[in-house]
Amino acid sequence: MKSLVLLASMTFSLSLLAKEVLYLNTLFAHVYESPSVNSASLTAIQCAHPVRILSKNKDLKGWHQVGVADHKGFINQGYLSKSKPVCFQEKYPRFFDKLNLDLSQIYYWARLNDKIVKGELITP
Amino acid sequence: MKYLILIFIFFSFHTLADDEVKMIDFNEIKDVLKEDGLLKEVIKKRKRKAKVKKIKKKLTKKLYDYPSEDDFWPFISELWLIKNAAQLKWDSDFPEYGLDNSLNKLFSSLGYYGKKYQILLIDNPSIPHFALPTNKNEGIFLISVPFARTLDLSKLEICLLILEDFLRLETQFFKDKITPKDFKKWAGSNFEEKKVNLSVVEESLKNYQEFIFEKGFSFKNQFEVTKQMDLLLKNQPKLWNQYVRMLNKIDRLIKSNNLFKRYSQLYPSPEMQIKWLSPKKKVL
Repeated sequence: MKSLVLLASMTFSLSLLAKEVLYLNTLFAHVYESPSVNSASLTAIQCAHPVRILSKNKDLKGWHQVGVADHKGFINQGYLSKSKPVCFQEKYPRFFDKLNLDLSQIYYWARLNDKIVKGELITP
Repeated sequence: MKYLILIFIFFSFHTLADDEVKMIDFNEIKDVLKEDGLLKEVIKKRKRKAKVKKIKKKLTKKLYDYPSEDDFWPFISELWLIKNAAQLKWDSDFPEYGLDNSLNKLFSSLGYYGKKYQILLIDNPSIPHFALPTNKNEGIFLISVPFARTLDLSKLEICLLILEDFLRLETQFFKDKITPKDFKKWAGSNFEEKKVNLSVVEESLKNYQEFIFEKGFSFKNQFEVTKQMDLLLKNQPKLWNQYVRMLNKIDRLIKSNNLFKRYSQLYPSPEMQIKWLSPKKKVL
């Protein structure tokens, strides 16, 4: 019986390890219910927050299905990076704390990333 | 009887220990102790401990840093957008303008390559277009959708407005006017064991607000930007004509539509810009 429990827990932890973990690289971002910025936000996460990648399906068109705490949702793949980024919040933690951002401001900051169109001029 | 035996055992141990101490002459083995390197190890450990303490102190101090100049501008521009989200209405649904291609085409034809840009559409007619500073010579370009719609601006015309704003960023007119007095001293400094000073943040936000909604650019600033546009576009008459046509369109709009009356307060004035661009008449 003991070995059975051990085997089950090992399989479970291995399955967790197998899931890829990426880090948020923007100041804040929303985890959406479906792969669209117009869908409901499940939660907003801060820069460098780790997210478990549940699916990288090509049909999701630039979105990853992710697990964040108890939530399963979608996040723009451009906001995720493999290594932990150096975030403004981590670089200036005490200063950032003192700003006392409220929930609505965090919500808007996460929305701002979805609304800004980012690009780079081509190089010859 | 039991107690007697216990007392006997205690005293016999006590005397034994005393004898052992007497037997070890520490002065004799002093040199041996020195040679075994333990003292060196202790000094090494003490040095390492002091070094770790110093690093820890440095790291703790770093937690209280104010943002550096480079990190401050992207942050404050975004914070201003967050604080004015309700007024600017950038969180509305807009059609995709797909400016990437036109922007690349225009900028590369003028020799601008590899620069990063950010475009944010807003649903507010009071700010027709504006560039907020982020990193060096880069910015967030605001474009008012009601303004672009009313003027029926083409992609190229929107890109020309972005180019104008880009030149304003390069000249740093806006940054120069809104930078708080103590900013240079404040940026990158530290507030460990001091009261946090957020006055620079508050002042910057206030200055953003005043400049964008009240003061605007000066005639001198506008003259310089218009002359730069003239220089840049002169080699490409098609673009130059398009720019002048667009300025005429804006001029007519702000004179006829009260919704966009603030335009000349922010950018004085399209009428003057057209004059500055017009070739001088030769008197015979």
